[in-house]
Amino acid sequence: MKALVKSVLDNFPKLSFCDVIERFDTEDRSAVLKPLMENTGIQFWVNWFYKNTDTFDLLRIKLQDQADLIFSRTDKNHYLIILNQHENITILLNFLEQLDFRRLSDPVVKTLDEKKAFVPFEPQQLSELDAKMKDAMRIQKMIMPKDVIIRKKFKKFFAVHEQQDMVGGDFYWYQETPNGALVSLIDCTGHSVEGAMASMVCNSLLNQAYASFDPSDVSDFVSDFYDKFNAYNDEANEVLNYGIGAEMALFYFDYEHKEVKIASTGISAFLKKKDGVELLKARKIIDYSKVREVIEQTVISMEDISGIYAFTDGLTDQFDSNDRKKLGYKGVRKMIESESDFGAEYYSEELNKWMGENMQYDDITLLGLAI
Amino acid sequence: MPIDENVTNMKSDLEIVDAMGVYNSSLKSYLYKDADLDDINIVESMVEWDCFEATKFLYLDFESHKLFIQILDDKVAIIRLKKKISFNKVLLEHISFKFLSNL
Repeated sequence: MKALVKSVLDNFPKLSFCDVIERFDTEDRSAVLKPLMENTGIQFWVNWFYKNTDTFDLLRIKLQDQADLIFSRTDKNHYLIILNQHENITILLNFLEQLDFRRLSDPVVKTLDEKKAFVPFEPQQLSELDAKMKDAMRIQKMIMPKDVIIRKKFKKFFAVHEQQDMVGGDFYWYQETPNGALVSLIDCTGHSVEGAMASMVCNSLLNQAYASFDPSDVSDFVSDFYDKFNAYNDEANEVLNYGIGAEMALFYFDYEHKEVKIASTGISAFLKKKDGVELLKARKIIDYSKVREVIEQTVISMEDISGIYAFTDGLTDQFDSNDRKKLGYKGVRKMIESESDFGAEYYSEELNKWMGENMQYDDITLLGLAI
Repeated sequence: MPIDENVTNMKSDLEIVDAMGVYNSSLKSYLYKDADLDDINIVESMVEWDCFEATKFLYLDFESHKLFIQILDDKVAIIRLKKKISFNKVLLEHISFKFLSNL
């Protein structure tokens, strides 16, 4: 257990408290937890922890003074207790998730070096972790299509792509076809590293699904993607008890027939028409096993529209500078109707004006395609 | 706005709510509870030990399910989250806080 505590402190040296205790050992409790008991708010939680008999895997408490108190079960009777006031909580929680506590109870593993038994990687300094996030950002940008390539097939194209962290779950995908172009906007569940890893999986699955692309009906392409997606998730659930989610909109610009074919599992778009701006609100498909049954293709003549604006819900869900009101469809429509320039700069500026000093709550992507 | 309506609005803002309850820790009674929310004992034990005195919110992971509990004064929102679905923690914390502020 000492190696576990050392490993955590090596990676997170600014933790205020970190130790492992046996839940029902009174002596252990008094000696080890004495520093925590000086704080009344924490004292209440420690008392509850010892009196309550429910077995839980993780308890993470955000205290009024912004500190995080964590109880993380390492085995049947032991918990790792952490008080954090200065470390990045997302990175800390991700680290704790990766520690394989179950191996500690394996009698074979106990004979090995304890440090190697449960720590999946060598201890890293926090500055190295930040550098690796930057590397991850570069890799995520590599899967994104180059704007200059997409612009070859459209009058104009722009992308406002703001992840909440350095990396995230929003991305867009592009494929030129013999008679047109495919553009897809995808919002994967999770933020930061989790969302980014999910986006890598989805990008790969999209590339695989393209092999059987039929331009007559794009809903087949979306269904093929989700068939592969569901197969991937089934296996992940079985092995890891974990799955990913992703909603997407796929647009096929068929220049031969002068049509735009659209299929979506939850991502909406605005259409710019001669007489105004129209919302193409997507029906959210929550059960991905039903995609093939329920998904439908919408076909629009290119003569009826001059532009398409596809966006993830991070845009409409963003609260204003007073933190009172969401931007919503109304706000996005207003931006489009008042558009002074069909470009990322205008929309980024409008978004920043809306947000003010408020934080960004989710990954945000807005694609503009002028036909 | 009646509490049922507030709950409906919140559930539509947050797609990951499986079941929820709103508890008043001063009155020691529920202002609202979905029929299938059975995490009463946990919350009441926390109230009994004054755990919410200096707490903003908490996450409690069990093998079978995950709870998120948001506290504002004597109002406690207990939200059981849908299993195996990743979610936006920042949005969950924010919307549940605004929900309690509006009660």
